[in-house]
Amino acid sequence: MRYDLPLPLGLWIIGAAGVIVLSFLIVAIAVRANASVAAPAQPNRVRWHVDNAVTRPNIRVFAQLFAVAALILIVVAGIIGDQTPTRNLAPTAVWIAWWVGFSYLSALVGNVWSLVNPWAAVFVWCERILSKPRAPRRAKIDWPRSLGVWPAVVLFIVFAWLELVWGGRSIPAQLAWLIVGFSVLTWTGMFIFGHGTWLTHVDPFALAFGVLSKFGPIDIRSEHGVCGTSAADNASDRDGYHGGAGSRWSWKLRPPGTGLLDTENMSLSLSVFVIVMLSTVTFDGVMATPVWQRIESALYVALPALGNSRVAIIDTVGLLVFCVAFMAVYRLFATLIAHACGNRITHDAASRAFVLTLVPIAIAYLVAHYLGYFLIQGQLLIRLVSDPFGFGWNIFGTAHFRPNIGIVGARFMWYTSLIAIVLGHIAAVFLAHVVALRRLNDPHLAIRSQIPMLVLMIAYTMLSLWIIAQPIVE
Amino acid sequence: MISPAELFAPPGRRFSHSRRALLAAALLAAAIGSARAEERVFELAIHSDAPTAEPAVLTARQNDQVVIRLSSDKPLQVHLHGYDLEKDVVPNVVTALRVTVTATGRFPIEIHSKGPAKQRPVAYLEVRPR
Repeated sequence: MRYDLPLPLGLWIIGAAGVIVLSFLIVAIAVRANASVAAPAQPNRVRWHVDNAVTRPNIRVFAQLFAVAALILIVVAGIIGDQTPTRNLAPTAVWIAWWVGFSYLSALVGNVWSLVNPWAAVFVWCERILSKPRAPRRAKIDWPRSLGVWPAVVLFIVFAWLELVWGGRSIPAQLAWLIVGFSVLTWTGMFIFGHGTWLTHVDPFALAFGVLSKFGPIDIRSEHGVCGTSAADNASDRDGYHGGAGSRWSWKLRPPGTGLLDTENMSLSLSVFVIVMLSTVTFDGVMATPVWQRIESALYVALPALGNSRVAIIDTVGLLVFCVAFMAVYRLFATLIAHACGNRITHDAASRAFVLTLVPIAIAYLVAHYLGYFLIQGQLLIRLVSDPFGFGWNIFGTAHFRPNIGIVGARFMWYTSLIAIVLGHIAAVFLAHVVALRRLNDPHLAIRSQIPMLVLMIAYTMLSLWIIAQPIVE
Repeated sequence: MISPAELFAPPGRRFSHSRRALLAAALLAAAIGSARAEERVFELAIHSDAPTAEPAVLTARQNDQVVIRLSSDKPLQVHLHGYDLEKDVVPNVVTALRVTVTATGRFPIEIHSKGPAKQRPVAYLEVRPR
């Protein structure tokens, strides 16, 4: 349940005008400063190794144990606990703490999920216990290269459907059995293909948090490579890619967003994954607008033949149409970019090169759309940790905590949303420009290639602004 | 010509003047104050058989005293989300739901019935910041 007030017209106009003016300002600055922007081949990372502090193996094991315990608690609560959504730990823990929480952590900090992922942790522990030392277990089947990350694309669409359309998403037992099913799938897949391959090609969450974390200011890596995304088609990373408890991890500070410039290993399937992610996040917002409600009602009346699950069918089709439309629009703009720079790069290359630069706009939208929800509904956890099953327990004495719905006011949320959206847009335009300069190595062509990208980004940002200016109807 | 009586007017009279001014100021302040935090009364009639196509939007300002006069043709429970207030409504009786709206936001008002189907909110209470 979200309680956000729609963005007032005045602020909407300020935001929209700001986005357009700043876009051209950045391009104008970029024209003058292109030499200095294009110069560093490497992103300007502040190198600050703290290898032996936060990513120390024993601290990681402790965090992983906590994550595994939380996973077990959520499943048990979902299955045996009270089935009222707000009296059971499972729905709030899954949708707010885990999904929104880790999206924020990834985008604003770094890929924390890759450190604590409980499925990977359990698998690695079992593998270490069961396999002979000195002879690491090999994957049963090599990952077919042509498959890329397509399975993750499919699983992410399924996940988005479960999150946005499925009626059982807030029913604790159904959610818990879904987690059990996902666990079986994950561990089977890891056993067959090796856990590193599974995490980089199939696991939709490892990939999604990996993509978002490229924006984060902390670059968390294992010694084998970047966690989560890219390096995807490298067959040699099959085993031990995501590092067992003993593998070395390090973290570095970097300017926020610069991780998104790393587009070398972008495969076509991974670029589709990113677009699918962006489209489902936006569709979540669109579904809560009065316009979508009217479309839904009109179709509901027009299509009685579909029976009682009409709303679910309409929403499912809407979700798929939205994904396809996003992809079609992006593909069209990639073609325009290729044309604009005289086909120095193909539209395929363009679509792979620029897809990550759209991520800051999605992150800004995530902040604008979910922050109030996260801060208010997230408080339910304070109550739920004392009584996770809804049995009337009071373990920590917080079972009767009442969420403070005034924790952030509407004005705070409006300004935060607006600032986030404008900043996200600036970051996106800037990053796309840097990518263009690096790829094309010619300032004039880079500027020309960025005209279609600028139009696309302004349209995408305006869509985000429009959604948060709509009254929420759920 | 000024009479000595006026020149040496008893202090009490001048004091009463200023007291009147004070009173006026107090009244004005009260008027402004009431403009700042008004009591807002809304009528909400719920017909269980014919759900309203468009949920009503009840608009208030932060710190207002909101009174929602609920009536229904069937017994039901009305729930104001966020503030988490519930009222049982019986037919042919107007039940008042009172709340001082300190938190801003858009809060759905839903009917909680025993039926399995989740209903759309009958109204939204929008509390705007001052």
